[in-house]
Amino acid sequence: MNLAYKYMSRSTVLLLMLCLGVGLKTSLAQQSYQSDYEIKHQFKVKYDSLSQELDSVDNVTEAEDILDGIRGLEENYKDHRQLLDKVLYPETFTGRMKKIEKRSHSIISKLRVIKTQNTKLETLNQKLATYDQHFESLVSRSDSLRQAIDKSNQSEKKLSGMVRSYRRSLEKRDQFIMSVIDSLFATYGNMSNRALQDLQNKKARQINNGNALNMVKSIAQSNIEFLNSNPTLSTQDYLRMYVVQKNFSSMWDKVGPKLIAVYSGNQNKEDVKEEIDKDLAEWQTKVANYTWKSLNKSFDEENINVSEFGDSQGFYNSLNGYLTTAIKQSKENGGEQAQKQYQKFASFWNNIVKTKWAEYMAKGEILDYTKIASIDQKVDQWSEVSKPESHLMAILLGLSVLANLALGVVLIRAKSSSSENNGNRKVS
Amino acid sequence: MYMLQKAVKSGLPVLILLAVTACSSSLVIQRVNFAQPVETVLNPDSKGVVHDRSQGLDFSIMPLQYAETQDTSSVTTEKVRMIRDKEGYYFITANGYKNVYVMKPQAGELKLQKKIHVSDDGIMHPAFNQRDPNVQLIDRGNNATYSLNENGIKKEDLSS
Repeated sequence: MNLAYKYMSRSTVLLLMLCLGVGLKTSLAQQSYQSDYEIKHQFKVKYDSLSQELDSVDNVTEAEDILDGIRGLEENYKDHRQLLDKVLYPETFTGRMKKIEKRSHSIISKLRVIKTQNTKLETLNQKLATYDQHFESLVSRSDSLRQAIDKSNQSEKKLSGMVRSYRRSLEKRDQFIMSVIDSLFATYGNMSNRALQDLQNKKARQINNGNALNMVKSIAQSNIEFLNSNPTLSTQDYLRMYVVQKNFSSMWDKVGPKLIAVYSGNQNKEDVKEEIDKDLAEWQTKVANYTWKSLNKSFDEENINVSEFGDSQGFYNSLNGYLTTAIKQSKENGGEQAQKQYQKFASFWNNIVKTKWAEYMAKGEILDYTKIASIDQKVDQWSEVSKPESHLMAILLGLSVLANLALGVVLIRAKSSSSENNGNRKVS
Repeated sequence: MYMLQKAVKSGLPVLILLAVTACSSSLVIQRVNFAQPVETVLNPDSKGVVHDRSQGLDFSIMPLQYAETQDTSSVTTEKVRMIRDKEGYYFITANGYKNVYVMKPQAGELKLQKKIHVSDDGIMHPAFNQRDPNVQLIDRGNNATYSLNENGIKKEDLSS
């Protein structure tokens, strides 16, 4: 058994050596017939080909395949390092391979970023596609509700129910616009120029559904149409719409050029921008007009005679001026009338302006919290000076004087009666 | 006068000799390695001239074509292969040539140093490799290799 094993081992080793010998001879012979020029030429062709592939690669998987190819090329030609060092002078074989490998790593990492951004974009496009339908249904629902309210001969109770639904529907529509703004910001806000260029070159033409530019146009135009229909809404509704418009314009200023770059396709980019800028400006003018009118009207209805205003600074100046005058008048005249005027303003200011409008006013930069605090101070000041003069102190003072007098009389009397008693005792 | 005559007789020839020697001495750099790492492959133009832009060398291949074919009516040579060895000799051949021409560069010319006969049938797919101290010729048509220097084939066909 041992002998057989030994014999087998020897024969196996001999066979292996023979194979190695033949292999070595073949390899040497092949090396002998190889032209250095061909080695140089083939290396250059393969290297240039990989380099060109890197220039045009547009996805991570392909880029990783190219990197494998680069590593393979290095492995295959490492035996010719000396020759290649000479022919590549002043570069070296190792230097060249490192250079292309570094470039491929850089491209892979850039493509990974683009891939992430593409995924975000795909999600946005899906969202926009559903948003598109959702927005239309919200707008049509709001319109039909408004028409129903206009034509309604129903009972007051039923009508107020419809008005409530109408306002809820408008709120939903505005919430929807805010979510579009968030989505567009999240996708395009930090998008790199390379990713943008990639989208511009490849993706934009493929996007039919979920075109963000169409969505922007549609939202602006729908709001203009809505405002053109002379809606009768509460001041709170107008303030909310004012804030939505402001945020929408701000979003457009920041990501508008990117959206145009990606989605405008063959259209003239300047024309597209001009058209949307025009729509947004019209929307802004209309919503601002309604908001200021509604605010002025709300103060009028409460018989708070603030001077008319048409912008944020005007509104603050008007309130400030009104309070300054009211405080001065209260100081000079006072009285019950001034007290009533104060109470009316304070109630409107605290229960309506601060409770229902302040959030939108701050977001829309109509009246920021510093200015609200400044108005609050004036209202407090007015409160102090408008208080009716109190007679209680005078009465108490009078009572106190009387009490003292009475006490003094009692004490004097008590003293005199005591002296009389002492005299009588001495006489007796 | 006598002194002058004596000085002239004894010193002048020495001075003249020194002056002549100084003028005729030239600066020589020795142990120069002219070896070109990889051969150059060139296609002749319509006039049979090859242009090696990397080495800054232009010459007509027609004298070599005539030596091979005794015909210069048209350019029949394709892919001229050329390599310079350590000593500075150019080894030139082309597809189908029977010989390798060892040319020595001189002022404005390449002079034949040695015509090395390789094959009666012609070298079908020749290629030169620099294999210090020799130049290796391979014929990929028949897997033959030859070790050459300016004097001829040094070592016969390794494969045979």
